[in-house]
Amino acid sequence: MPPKKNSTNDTLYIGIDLGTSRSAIVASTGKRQWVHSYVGWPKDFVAKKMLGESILFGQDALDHRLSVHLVRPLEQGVIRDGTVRDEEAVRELVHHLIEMVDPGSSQEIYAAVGVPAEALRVNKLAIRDAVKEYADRLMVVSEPFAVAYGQETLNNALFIDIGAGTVDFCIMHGTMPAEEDQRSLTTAGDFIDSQLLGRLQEKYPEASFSETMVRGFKESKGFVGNARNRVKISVPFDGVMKPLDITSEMSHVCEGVIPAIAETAMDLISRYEPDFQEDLKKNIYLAGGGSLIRGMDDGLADALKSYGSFDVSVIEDPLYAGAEGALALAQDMPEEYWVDM
Amino acid sequence: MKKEMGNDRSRHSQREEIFRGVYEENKRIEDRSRPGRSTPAVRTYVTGLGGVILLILVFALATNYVFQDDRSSELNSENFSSVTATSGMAGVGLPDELLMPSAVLLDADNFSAIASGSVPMAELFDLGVRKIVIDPGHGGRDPGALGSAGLMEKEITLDVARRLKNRLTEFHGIRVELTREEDQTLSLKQRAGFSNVSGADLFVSIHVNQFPEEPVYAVETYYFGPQTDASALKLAELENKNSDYSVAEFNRMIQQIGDRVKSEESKRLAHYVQGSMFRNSRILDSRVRNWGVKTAPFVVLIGATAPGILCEIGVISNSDEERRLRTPEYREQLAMFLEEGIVTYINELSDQLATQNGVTENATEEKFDE
Repeated sequence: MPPKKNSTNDTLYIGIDLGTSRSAIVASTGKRQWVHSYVGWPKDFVAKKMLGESILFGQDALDHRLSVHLVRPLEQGVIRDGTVRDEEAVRELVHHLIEMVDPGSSQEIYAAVGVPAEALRVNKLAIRDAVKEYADRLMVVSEPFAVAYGQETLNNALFIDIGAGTVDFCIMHGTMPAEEDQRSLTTAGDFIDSQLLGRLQEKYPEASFSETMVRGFKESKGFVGNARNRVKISVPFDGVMKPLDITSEMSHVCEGVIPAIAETAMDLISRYEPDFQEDLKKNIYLAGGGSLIRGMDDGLADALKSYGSFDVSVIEDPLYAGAEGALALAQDMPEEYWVDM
Repeated sequence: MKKEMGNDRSRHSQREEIFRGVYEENKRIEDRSRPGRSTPAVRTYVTGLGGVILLILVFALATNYVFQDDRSSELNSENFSSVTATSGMAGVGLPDELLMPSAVLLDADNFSAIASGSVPMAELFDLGVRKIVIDPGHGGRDPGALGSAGLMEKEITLDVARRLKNRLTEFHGIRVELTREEDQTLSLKQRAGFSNVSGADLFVSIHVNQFPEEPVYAVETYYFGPQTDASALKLAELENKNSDYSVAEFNRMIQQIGDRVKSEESKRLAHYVQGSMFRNSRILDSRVRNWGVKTAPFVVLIGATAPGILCEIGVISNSDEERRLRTPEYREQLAMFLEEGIVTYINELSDQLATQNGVTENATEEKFDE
């Protein structure tokens, strides 16, 4: 295999992971950055003057959510609106990400972008159009495929990307995965958040919870299996902060997504070439933010144990794995394939 | 699914194959985005007396297509560019605010295109989609088809319809209503009437098939027309029970069968929805067969004046499918498949209209330059 192409004075290779919850970029210069996938436009003149910006991104947009029209363009794994605002948000987000790795003004940008599998299927054109404005050459691929490519695991492997909007499955069998090699479930991170929010609101009607708050609880304290520590949080009750123990609720909602993931994984495995099914069972990789829920890998292996012995592992550096994989693809891609992209 | 893989395949050739696959996939998308791929012939501009005569002829023809009950007098040439059809169109299920693009002019080639039906009427008249009525099939005393473990069609259709509504409501500018929000008995007349009173731009009726004699895995989508085959007629007979229409009312509805906008758009919508349903369902279960887009004389589709379709989203008589249909995850997926079809239809329509308006604006500028 030829060596990876690095940046030159004329060319910058970048890999982008455009996710529902977080988006990351890695450049061939070694720079890497990520943001929460939020874009905010000031609601009015007063907000614009107060913020001093015409557009905010990521945590900044979240922190000022009361003053901005907040858009999460890939909610549920697709460009929800299909119209101006969401496509505009994708465009601005991509622009922002590219600016974060400081491309030279005269450098040609060769970009590979990983997007949720469902978005690739539903919004191919819109995503290409949104990114192309800021890249001279562009390839768009599904997120789990980008991760698999980056891991250099191209054969007899199942990648499960547990994102916020969707759980994307992708079987690698030595070729470009076809539609039938991929699946998507909507019972993903956002689903866990909404379940947790619903349970907490039902159990503690006098307490105040928000989606952002609940997402934070999950990201910092979510778990599957036995709890190492009790999950204790503080929330406002009529404006006064009080402690709560939400261990059982957290356990229930995090484990709640596993049966559907296990069922879908088994369905894909059972359709795989029989001679290689056992190999596949030993090569199951979890990626995406959901893979960081403690014990998710063991929980999935446990749910699958009635079908045999499985090795489920979480890939290293899941925050950047998609962007790194996309960058590797961009750098490895032969020049002739870039010509009319 | 899995292709036979030789163990000796080198990683190099695997990568080569992957690079080519990525390239070809992106090339397909890139080719789709290139301008001119589907520019309708109607976007050109015409000058001269012959064109004017043709223009008059074409609009006479076109208005005759749309207004079959002498309401064409509501349109006149003097205020053609600003006419709204709130009252005139209500009876035929078209949007509340219909604007005729003033600069859409036609030449001889385009005349034949219009006359032959190759140019979508919705595109010609800049029709958008603002209100969608979803009809969960059956309900109340009418359980619809039954699964062997007791699951009822009426439960599935209502739940999927609610999920579909939630999904579509997320889209800016689209309002969605259900013909029934709960387990309620409704006649077909009430369902169609609800759609008409709501001013629906699209009507989507959701149903589930049953074939207890044999395991059949299939999805199919209907729009109103003569039955495609005997099974379509049989299905229409089943779904037409509890219609509550009188013979006179039915005859009046029959008069509207020639409504070309409705028929054309129903067909286009049916194709997008069926495409999405089949493609996605097939991924979940490789046994699913594509029974395609068909026509059949469903009373609910003729009663609703908006372009409408009836989707059979699965087969409840398959015991494993019945188990799947019980799960919220699968119902959510079915709603997502329907959503994809409907949204693709709307997006395609919007794209075409946007392109059309862009071109006609340019055409207008050219005229002033002259």
